Amino acid sequence: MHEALEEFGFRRAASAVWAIVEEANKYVERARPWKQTPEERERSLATLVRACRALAVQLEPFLPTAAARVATAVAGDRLPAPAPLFPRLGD
Amino acid sequence: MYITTTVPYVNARPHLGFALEIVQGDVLARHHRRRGEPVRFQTGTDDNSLKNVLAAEAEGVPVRELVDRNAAAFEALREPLNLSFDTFIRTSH
Repeated sequence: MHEALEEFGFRRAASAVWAIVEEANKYVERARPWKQTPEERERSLATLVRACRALAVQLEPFLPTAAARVATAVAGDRLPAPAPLFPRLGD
Repeated sequence: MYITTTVPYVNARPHLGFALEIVQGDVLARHHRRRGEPVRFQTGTDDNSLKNVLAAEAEGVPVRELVDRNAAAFEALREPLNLSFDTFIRTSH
């Protein structure tokens, strides 16, 4: 991301951030936490929470408010009750 | 790190093209601040242009009034676009 921004590659930098999301999505499909034992599921979800934390950090320059909401949603040892990051259009 | 945008003429209210430019500047500013680098991110308006005068004449208002109003609209982008510019300069001030 830093390399991309050094040469004003905004799209490339944003793609680097989005790669975290894509990897996490693939991970969910591969791991299928809903079919795992509770112990396996615990590990998978912990990995995904770490991915969301990384996303919150990397997203900050592009979407500071949304990044802060992501950070809040995955903060702490016990996560707060989930809330939608973005309201639906029309709500 | 010194980051600036173009200073747009204020013959009209801001358009989407300038939003892209200033958001890109904001991304750079936030990125470098986060890395602990000293950053000065500056934007503003060019209040002195024939286009501004012609727009004021077309509207039938004093140039100062049109320029002040549109410059304020540019500065007010800070809220909806969540911008972090450090200074906003106007070429008439």
